[in-house]
Amino acid sequence: MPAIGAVQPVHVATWIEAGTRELAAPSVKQRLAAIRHLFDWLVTGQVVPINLAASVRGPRHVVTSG
Amino acid sequence: MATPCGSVDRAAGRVPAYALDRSHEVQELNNPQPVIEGCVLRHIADPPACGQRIDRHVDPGDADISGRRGQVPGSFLCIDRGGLRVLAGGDLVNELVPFRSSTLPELVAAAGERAGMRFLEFFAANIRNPHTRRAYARAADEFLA
Repeated sequence: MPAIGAVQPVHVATWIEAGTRELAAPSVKQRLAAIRHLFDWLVTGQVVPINLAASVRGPRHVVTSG
Repeated sequence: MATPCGSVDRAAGRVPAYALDRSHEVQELNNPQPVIEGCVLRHIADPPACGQRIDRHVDPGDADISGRRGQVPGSFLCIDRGGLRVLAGGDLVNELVPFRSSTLPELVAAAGERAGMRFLEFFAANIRNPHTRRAYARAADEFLA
């Protein structure tokens, strides 16, 4: 990728998918949240036109208790 | 394991420079007007000595980069030499200074100076919690490296 503007959802999804193989689901979700927030901030600053990480879904994490 | 977009030496525990929040600590400022990659750290009337701690609360003052004027008590956001430094209040001038662009992730650095500044602002102005800042910075660094 030449610049941050060239990031596509598939890049984020691939990175997330790779993360799920070595990290727990909440950690991967946190990383995805970081990228989402960062791109949101960059959209606000008109660095990139749209948040391409917004459409990427993270892993599912279920906690059953009680 | 290398990710498609690069990886971080996690074993070494490397934290990006822009994630290091050293509150209430002002590091060495030898030159009151250093010019670093075209950005000027303007007017520091009384540059503190290296390692000097400032315990008082600081009014963010006029140069409000965060849009939360008055809600950032004592916010000396001193983020290492390799990152960015925000000096606030008193005799100091609030300033957001990008240092060496090599500290930025490659994708951000390639997108230009404005993108780099905005990227640093995200951690400096948008994230309050230092733990969140550190975690988000690590994730961003890993993704964009």
